[in-house]
Amino acid sequence: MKIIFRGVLLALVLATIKVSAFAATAPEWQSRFSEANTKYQSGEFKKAISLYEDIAKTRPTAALYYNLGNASLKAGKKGKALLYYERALRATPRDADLLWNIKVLKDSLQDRLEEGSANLVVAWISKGAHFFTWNETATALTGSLLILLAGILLGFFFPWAKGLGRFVSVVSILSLVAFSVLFGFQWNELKYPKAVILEKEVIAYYGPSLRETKAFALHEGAEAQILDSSRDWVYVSLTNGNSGWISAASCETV
Amino acid sequence: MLKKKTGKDHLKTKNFVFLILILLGVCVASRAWADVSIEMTASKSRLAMGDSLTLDITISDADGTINKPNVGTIDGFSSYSQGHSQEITIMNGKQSSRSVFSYVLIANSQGTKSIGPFEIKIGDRMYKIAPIQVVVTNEPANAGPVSSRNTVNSVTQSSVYAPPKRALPTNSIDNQDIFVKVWFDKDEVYVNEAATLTYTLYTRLSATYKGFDKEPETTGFWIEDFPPDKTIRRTEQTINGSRYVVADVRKIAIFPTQAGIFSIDPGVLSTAVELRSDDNFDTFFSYNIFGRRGSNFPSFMSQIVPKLISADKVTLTVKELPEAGKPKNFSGAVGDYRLESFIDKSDVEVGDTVTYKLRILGEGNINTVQAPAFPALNDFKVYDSSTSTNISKERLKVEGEKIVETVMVPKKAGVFTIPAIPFVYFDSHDKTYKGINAPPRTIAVRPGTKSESESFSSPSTGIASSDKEDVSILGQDIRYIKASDPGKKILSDIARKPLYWAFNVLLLILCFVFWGLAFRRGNPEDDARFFRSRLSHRFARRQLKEAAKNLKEDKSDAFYAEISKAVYGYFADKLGITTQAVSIQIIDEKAGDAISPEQLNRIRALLDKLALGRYGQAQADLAQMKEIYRMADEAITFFEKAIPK
Repeated sequence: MKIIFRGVLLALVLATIKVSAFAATAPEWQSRFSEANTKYQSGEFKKAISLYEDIAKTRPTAALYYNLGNASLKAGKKGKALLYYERALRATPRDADLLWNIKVLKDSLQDRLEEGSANLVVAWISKGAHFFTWNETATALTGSLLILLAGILLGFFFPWAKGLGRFVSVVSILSLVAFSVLFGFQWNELKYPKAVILEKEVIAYYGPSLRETKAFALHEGAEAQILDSSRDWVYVSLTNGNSGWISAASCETV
Repeated sequence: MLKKKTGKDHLKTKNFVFLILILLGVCVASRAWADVSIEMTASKSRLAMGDSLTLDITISDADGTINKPNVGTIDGFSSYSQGHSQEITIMNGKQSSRSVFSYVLIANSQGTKSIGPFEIKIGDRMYKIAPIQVVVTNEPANAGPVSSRNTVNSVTQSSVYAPPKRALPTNSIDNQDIFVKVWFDKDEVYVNEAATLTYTLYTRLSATYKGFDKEPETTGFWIEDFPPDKTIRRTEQTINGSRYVVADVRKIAIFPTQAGIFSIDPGVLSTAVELRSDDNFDTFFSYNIFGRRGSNFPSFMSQIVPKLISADKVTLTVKELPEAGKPKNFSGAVGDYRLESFIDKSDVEVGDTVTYKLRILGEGNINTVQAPAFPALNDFKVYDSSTSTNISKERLKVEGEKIVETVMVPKKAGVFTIPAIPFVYFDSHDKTYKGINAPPRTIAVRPGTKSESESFSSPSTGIASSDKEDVSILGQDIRYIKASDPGKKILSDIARKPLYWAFNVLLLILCFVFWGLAFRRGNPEDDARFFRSRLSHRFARRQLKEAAKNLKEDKSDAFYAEISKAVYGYFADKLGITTQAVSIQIIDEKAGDAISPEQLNRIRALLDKLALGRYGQAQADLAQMKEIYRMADEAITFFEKAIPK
């Protein structure tokens, strides 16, 4: 009994320390965040960007990346802005402000790279996959498995609740299948990460060398999937099916 | 008028002299006017293929009824009857008559052709008309006037009096006698700029314009016809020493819709030409050139001949409008325009209607002019506008006005201005784009007595619903930064951690394990019975086979043992009971209505025989053993059918 009490006490003390430590650091980044916001408000976007980037090194959050995106856009760097927005999107895929800004930004871009698949089923899956973060899908997958197990155990230990257990199992299997599909889709997307073009214009070649034939030109803010890389070059594929090698320095991975 | 009269008088005198001559001739001949003279004349002795000639058969002083000459078909020509004219003159108690049958012949084969001989019946006598020769050449319609004339007097019977040769009208209408000139007022125009196509008719003959036999081909153009009464103007001109009456018979304004070089087929004009004696030129042009047909005095020689006149194709070059300096809001109007604006009321109440009128007027293809768009007004409800177009072609120009009426209802009080409405057109005279504006209009709106406040305060009406409008987006910009950070960190992906996968695999294994356990635990007794019932038939068949083997080897004990095992085992498995419990009562009870009493009897007989065989130590009779085997086989077969697995 005494041991248990001591343990609880120790745990409480540790928790307090941790909370106080967190509380001590919070105002520090928060004040810098507010400072950056003030700079943004007064139109000093470059200063705001450097402040936000400083915080992002230690504490990358969705709101921070969102503000970084805004500041970059106001400073005229569309490529950087889209990069930051895409990063913020990975944590908050349903943020209305973020989605709106991405749409406004993409409307102003030069290259027409329409997303969306001709296949309705794929389009639905893609929509669902972009509604959840990968972590959410992974958690939901595990959650579905847990519920399935619970349903089976219910039927196993309580024969009178066999019907309920079967129902729970069926529902969880359906959700398991659905989330597996989304999980697979997201995995595939993460396997070939997105890159955003940061330079005003980049020429894509048919091989990782300037001597190769020119394939096409991409402009700032264009997004492409990185399929392969070789030293200073990355092999990118566009949504319209074109692919080519661009210099790795001209783009940045989300 | 004076000239006309002189002409008439002149002709009358001539006719009179002619009649006197005939009468003299008649008098000289002792046999009064019963003497008939028949003449056949062709208007041409030489003609090209496709050309036409007029054939006249003139019968003078015939006695009795003149039947139509029997012309029939003429070799090498298509013939059309032109009619029959008759004149009777009584002078000094003496009567003279003249009857003319006219035919139009169109040559359709080459060579020297003879027209005739024909027969004609006058009274009760038959007369024969001698043939005449005509040469049909392959040349195209010759340019020079055909002056050759072939008059053949044909007298087939000695009693017929032949009058002296004299001039008769020729019926040839030459291309130089009447022709049309089609011309554009300019060789080059811009797209949508008007070009005027004029048809000028030149004639030396008395001719009537009868419209178009074939309309001009004007696909790809916007056409405006000018009113005919404005176009026909008669003048006289002398060309190569010949006097022509010249008239513009038709004028068309053509608006090209696309650039290019166009060749336009001007179509075919239809005219009616009045032919008279050609030895008296004055009579042709002194009267009755256009508009009136025929003459109002007795004429021997007047004849109306239809004539189709075609003209050469005309070419028009259409240029694209210059790109240089083309304003963005240019909508294709070419010409010379002005813009006016009106409002019917400038002082209104909220809810009143105001009509705004935009008037585009000027010269050009006003029908296709696109009126400028009405500006968006937030403080007014604007209804769809109506457009009306008026076109005038009175001045031999296409001009007119387009009026666009827009009805607006002010939504709130205040002083509002309908901004100036810009309109851009291409000035075809100056060859530049010009922008003009409809002047702005100001409307003062007073708060209305029937405004919305009334409808809200009125207790009986409650809250009136308002017409919904889309929230209009005024501009597009990004949304503002986040003022606070809720701390949603960009986490590393948990799916990349082995622990996550280990946990999921563990869960999956647990699911399978417990599911398997739950399945196994289901109800073991039920399961065993189920399996027994399923497998019973197979076992029984196997044992029957064994029994059959014993039967062949003539081992009666082994046979009975196997067949008993097969039969009792089968029923026991099938009915879920022990082998010892198998009896006919149990079978009857368990099988119920599935087997018939007759089948039950056969099972009973089988069981009895088996009992006998096993316990009664019956003789090892092969026939009996075979019988038992057959019965066992049969019973298992029909029982399996009756009570399936």
